[in-house]
Amino acid sequence: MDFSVPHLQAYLSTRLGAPVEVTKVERFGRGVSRMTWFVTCHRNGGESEQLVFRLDPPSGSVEPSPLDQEYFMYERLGQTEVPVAPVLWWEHAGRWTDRPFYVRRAVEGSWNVPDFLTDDPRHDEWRIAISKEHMRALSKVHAVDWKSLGFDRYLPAPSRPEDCGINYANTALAQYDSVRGQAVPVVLEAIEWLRDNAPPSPRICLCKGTNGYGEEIFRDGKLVALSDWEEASIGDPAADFAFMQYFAPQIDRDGQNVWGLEKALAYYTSVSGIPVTVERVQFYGVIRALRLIIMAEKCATALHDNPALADVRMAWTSTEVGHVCRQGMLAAMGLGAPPTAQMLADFHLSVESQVQ
Amino acid sequence: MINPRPIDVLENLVATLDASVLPRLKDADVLSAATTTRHMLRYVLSQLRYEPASFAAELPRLTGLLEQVRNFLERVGASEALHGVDAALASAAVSNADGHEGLATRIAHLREGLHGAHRTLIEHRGEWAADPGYAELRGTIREYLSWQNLEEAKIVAPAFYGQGARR
Repeated sequence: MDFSVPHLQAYLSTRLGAPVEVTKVERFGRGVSRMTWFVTCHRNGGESEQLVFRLDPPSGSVEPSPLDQEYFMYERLGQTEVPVAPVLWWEHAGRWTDRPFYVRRAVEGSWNVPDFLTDDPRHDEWRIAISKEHMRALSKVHAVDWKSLGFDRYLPAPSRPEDCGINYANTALAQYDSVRGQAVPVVLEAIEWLRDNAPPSPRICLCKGTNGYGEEIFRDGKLVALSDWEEASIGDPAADFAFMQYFAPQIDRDGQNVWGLEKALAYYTSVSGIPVTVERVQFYGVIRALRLIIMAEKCATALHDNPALADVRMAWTSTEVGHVCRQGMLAAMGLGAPPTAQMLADFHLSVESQVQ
Repeated sequence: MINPRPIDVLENLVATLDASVLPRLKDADVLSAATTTRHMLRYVLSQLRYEPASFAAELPRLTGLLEQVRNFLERVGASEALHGVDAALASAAVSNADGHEGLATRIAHLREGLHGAHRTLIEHRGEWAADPGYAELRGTIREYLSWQNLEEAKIVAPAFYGQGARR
């Protein structure tokens, strides 16, 4: 897709059937899995609106799931209580674009939650309020009637609650087999371990996948849109707490635990009615490591096939991220020392977080 | 031979980024890309330093492991998996690529052979678990997996840990 102003104006005018003036085009530079472009425009001289274009990078997505699955997720979630950006349309490759894309409306707000990453006690109340806000949002996701809305058209669903973990492991193995460019025998060992140790789930739910800080849109302390649905699944809601970034911060004051994963889970259960144990969350932590290894493999393949087009962050994902996740999986199976908390926290270090 | 050698050049590139490029970048996206580029230069530097010794240790270890796997598969009559292991051992032995990348290719063949055999061993666990050789072989494979990760760490740790923002 050509994101020059003249091309976008011609495309949008044709698509919307009215003259469109494009005033600003900006690529979101932080995401690696898919490309995101923000396009500000006026329709027929009307009010300014911001559209979000999503497409795979030229070297292919880091994600094993296809772009049309992401579009499908937004389309179906728009029919639920889950706060998401309204999706507008899908565009096939053809006259206007060399790769398919979809367009959704931008939601006003920011992924950044000021003062959330600090350990300053003055912000404890604020951080806990944000954490609770996120728990309530997850409970809405888990309450979605996925069967009647047909989410299982894209997402493999287990037939029984006790099969959630095994279903996820089997799905991950199929994804690994489809993307791997080299042999990673530890993955096979991990799949076997996951099948042997899969805990039963109390319920089969729609799960978001990666969630939390940096993924969702907030405005004035309220979560106004859940974003980045490419890792969604159907299974044990405990998975979403293993895939969560930062939103159950450990807060200890004067030797007392004020907040953390256990308290966040208890709050979540009080809202959703679904019990989630730390042990189940830990099981899905291994699943998450496996998912990151699959992404690392996809990155390595993209880098090999298209070194000139691949994002440099794909090189990082395929090296350090892949290695640390393999270490984490081995540790879960009792085959080595786990990665330190610092090693995992470093994954999230960005030039912005250093400035904060 | 032209001096400086690759390690010296890479050291110089990283130092130049640190001293003259990164501090002057104001655009967050550009700074992010340059920051990751710095990490990847350090990674290649670390590969150049530590990977030759790691490969030299892995080739005989993995060859020995595959021969053990081969013996087991032959004994239990798993002919298809046995064929895969034989093919991997043969490919690794006849690979005529030179130098470090040639070694990498030979190890890749062996890992692929282990991967196929490992999958068969897991799939037939119910059938073969009573065989004392099965548990021993699975244990040896697990030891190799742990060892391989520790070898990787020798390259990854000096490249990334404690080196600040990744992106």
